[in-house]
Amino acid sequence: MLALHALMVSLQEATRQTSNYYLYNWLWWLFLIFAFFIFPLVFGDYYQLLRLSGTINRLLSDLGRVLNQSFTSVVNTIENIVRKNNIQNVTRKDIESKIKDLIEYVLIQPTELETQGIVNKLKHIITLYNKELEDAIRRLIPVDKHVIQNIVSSVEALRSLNLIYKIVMHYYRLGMKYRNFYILLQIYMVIPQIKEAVNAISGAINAFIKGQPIGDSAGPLTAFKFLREKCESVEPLSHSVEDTYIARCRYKGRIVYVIKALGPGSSTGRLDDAVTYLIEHCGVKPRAIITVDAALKLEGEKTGTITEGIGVAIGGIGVEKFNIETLATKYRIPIYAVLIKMSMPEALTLMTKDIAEATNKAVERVCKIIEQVAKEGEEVLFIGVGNTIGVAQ
Amino acid sequence: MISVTELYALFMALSLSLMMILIFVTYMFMRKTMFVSIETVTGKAITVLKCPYCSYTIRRVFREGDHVGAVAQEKCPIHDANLIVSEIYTETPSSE
Ligand SMILES: [Zn+2]
Repeated sequence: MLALHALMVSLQEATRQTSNYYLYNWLWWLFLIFAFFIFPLVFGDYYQLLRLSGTINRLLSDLGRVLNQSFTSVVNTIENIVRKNNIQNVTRKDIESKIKDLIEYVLIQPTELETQGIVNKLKHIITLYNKELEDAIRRLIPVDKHVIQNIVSSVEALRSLNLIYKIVMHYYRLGMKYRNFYILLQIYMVIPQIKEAVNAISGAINAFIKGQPIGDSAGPLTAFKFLREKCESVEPLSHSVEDTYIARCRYKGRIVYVIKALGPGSSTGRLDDAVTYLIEHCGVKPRAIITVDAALKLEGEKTGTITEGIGVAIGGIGVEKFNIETLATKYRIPIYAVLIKMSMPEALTLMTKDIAEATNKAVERVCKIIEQVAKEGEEVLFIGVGNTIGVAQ
Repeated sequence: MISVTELYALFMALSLSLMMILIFVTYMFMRKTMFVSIETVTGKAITVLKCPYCSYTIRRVFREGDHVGAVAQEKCPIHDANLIVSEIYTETPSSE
């Protein structure tokens, strides 16, 4: 009230004064109009550009730092292996240039113009790609297969990290080149996802080079625990399916075939080939196929929650899923899924305690399903889906 | 009695401090999106060893070469059997 009174009084007085008041008044209003109307209108986009470029610049330098760290740790690991195994004629320079080459290695997807038989083409290309990567690493360091598999996986993770970096850099450069903040805005909008992905991938590299199980190993770990703790008379089958472990065992009178990737190297196995081998070559007549896999949770869901369902629970590109679904449909075999929920960073980094404990519950669920769907003497297929790194059999 | 110049000074000071508050609030708001850096939190890995015949378990720090299913050097005090690695995990949850 006092201020208002002072204003009124002084305004009245001001009207009596001359020149100076009007000058000040106009200058002040001019300033206000510029500050709040003209300036934002004219320089708004430019200001946004400045702000976004700062943020994305920071993101890029962070990404570069993470990429460099991961690259160095992979090279260090290989160097250690070289030193430990007394491999001659391999210098740090050789390793660095080889890894740099492999990071840029491309996998060209088959054309989708004609979709007939595309799954088999995709399978062929991916198998070839993995084999090429493994061969390239084996030429560099001729050591045990599981060590090579771990290195291959970390190189693949490096490759996706590098790809993210290059894409962000592309949009940043393009936006700055044409002073267009809408292009920068597109990167700005996905910064949270980029950060999560980068965190997860760099964590994955850490686990891969040490050979530690990751969250995605929950499926193979469930299979391992089922074999060790619940089954009697476990006998591994000899077969020609690469990177895959098949065992036959007895659980409460039921015959269970357990399929998982062959550990403890980083591998997801050829699960579809294993199922084909059992059903079409060995004449197994399963009452059900049960898959256990890690599944992505939504924010707000609890890690380690277990859900059951129908269908084949296999992630990835979908080749194995397609093949197993085709087989199951052909022979009318019921397919059951047990899912262990986790977030994307949890799935790719060192397994957390919640997930390790959840596998115990998953084993119980699998046992319950087997008891329900098969009578004594009947056969069941149980597939532990996922990357088996750090989990043997 | 306040003079006109004094009044203008007051008015300017008021609006300037308002602008400062606005800038500060914007800064506080933007800090969340601008300055959260990428950091990888890797917890310490723990290896759980279990006797194949009973429920005897011990936990120790992860050593190179450990993997689930591997036979460890440690032995069960009751059965004198080598323990087997049954789990490897971290207790620090990944960045939430
Ligand atoms: Zn014991």
